Amino acid sequence: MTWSLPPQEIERLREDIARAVRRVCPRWLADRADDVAQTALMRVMDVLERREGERELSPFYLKKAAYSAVVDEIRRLRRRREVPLEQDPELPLRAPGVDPERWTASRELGKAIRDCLGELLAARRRAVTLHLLGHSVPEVAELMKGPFKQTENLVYRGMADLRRCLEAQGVRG
Amino acid sequence: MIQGTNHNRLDLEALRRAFAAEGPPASAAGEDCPDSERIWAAVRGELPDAERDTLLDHVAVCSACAEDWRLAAELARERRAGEAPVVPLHRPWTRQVRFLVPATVAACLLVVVGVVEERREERQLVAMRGDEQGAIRPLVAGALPRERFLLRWEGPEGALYDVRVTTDDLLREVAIARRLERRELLVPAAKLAGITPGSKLYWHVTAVRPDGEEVSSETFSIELR
Repeated sequence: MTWSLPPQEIERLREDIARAVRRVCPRWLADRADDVAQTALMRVMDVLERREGERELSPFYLKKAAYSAVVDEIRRLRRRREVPLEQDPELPLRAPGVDPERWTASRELGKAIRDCLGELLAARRRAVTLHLLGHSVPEVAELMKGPFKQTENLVYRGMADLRRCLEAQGVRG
Repeated sequence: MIQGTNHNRLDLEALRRAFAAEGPPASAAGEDCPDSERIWAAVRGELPDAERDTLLDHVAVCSACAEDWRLAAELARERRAGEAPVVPLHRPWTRQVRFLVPATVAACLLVVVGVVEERREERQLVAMRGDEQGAIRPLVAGALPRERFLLRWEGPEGALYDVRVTTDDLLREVAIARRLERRELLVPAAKLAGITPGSKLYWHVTAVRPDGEEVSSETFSIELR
C-alpha cells in the first residue's frame, strides 16, 4: 500500500518542509536537514492515513502538522545531544565553512542580545523580539494586533534601547 | 569586550544574525518551552493576547524557541499567495468526481509556475517521479516475517540506493542504509526487536543515478508479521 495523497501534493508538501527546514536549520543539524524534513513528511503522511473518514484537508492543516513534526524532531535531536551546546568545543568545526571565531563572536552577541531584551520594557521587548525574528514592522503590528504607528514607535524605541544596552556591555558597531 | 568585526555589528541584519545564532534552551532540558502548537498559533496571530505575550517573553530569552518560531514563520509563508484552497485526499480504491472551479484551476497554475521557478533555484531538491519511467516501486506488499524482513523494489538501472525504515508511532529509525547497489534490503531481526507483530513499518527509497540525479520514492508501508 502506498500513501493516498496524490504524488504532486506530497512533493509540494515535501518542498515546503525541506525549504523551511534548510532556511532555519541550526548548524549542528545542517547535515541532517533532509532527514528531518523526510521524517516530518512521514509523520504528516501518518496523520493523513489515520483520518479515514475525511476526504479533504486544508493546506493550513497540512502545514500545521508538518511544522509540529519538524519541531518535535528537532527537539528530539536536541535532547539526544550529550554535550550541552555551550560546552561543545567541536560545534563550529563540525559545521562546514564556518569560521569558529566568528561563530563564537556571533553566539556571544546573541547571548548579549537576549540579556538586554530582558531589561527592556515589556511592550518594546516583544516588538523588538518579533523584529529580530525577521518580521517587518507591519507584520509586527499584525501579530501584536496594534496600530501601525504605535508599533513602529515600539520597534524604533526598543531597538534604540537594545543598542544602548549592548554598547554598555561593550559591544561596538 | 565582545570582539568586533569589519561590518557594523549593531545594524539590524547583524543583530538578527546574532539573535539567530545557536544557543541553549532557556531551561536546561527545555521543559519550560511552549509546545509547537502554541508557537504555530502565535505565529498565525491566533493566540489570546496574554498568552502571546507570555510566549514572546519566553522566545526573547530562549534561543531554541526562537529557532522554532522562525521555522513556523518560514513554513507559514511558503506559497501563501498561490496555494489552492483544499488538498483532495485521493484514495486509489475510490472513484471521486471533483468539480474544479476556475479559481482553483488558476490557483493550481500559479502553484505550478511557482514550483518551476523554485526548481531553477533549488536544483538539489530531491525529485519525486511516481509516474515517470524509472520510478521506484515496491516489490513487496502486505506483511513480511521478522526473520526475513526483506524489502525489495524496482528502480533505475545502475543507481545506488538509500533506504530508510521507520516505525509508525514514534518514528523510531529501524534501519538506514546508504548507497546500496542491489535493490533490496534485509532488515536484521535484531533491528526489529521490541516492535510488536502487526505493526506497520514505513520505508522510503532514494536512488542516486549514475549522472548524480536523485530520484525519491513515495513512502511505502508494510506490516511486520
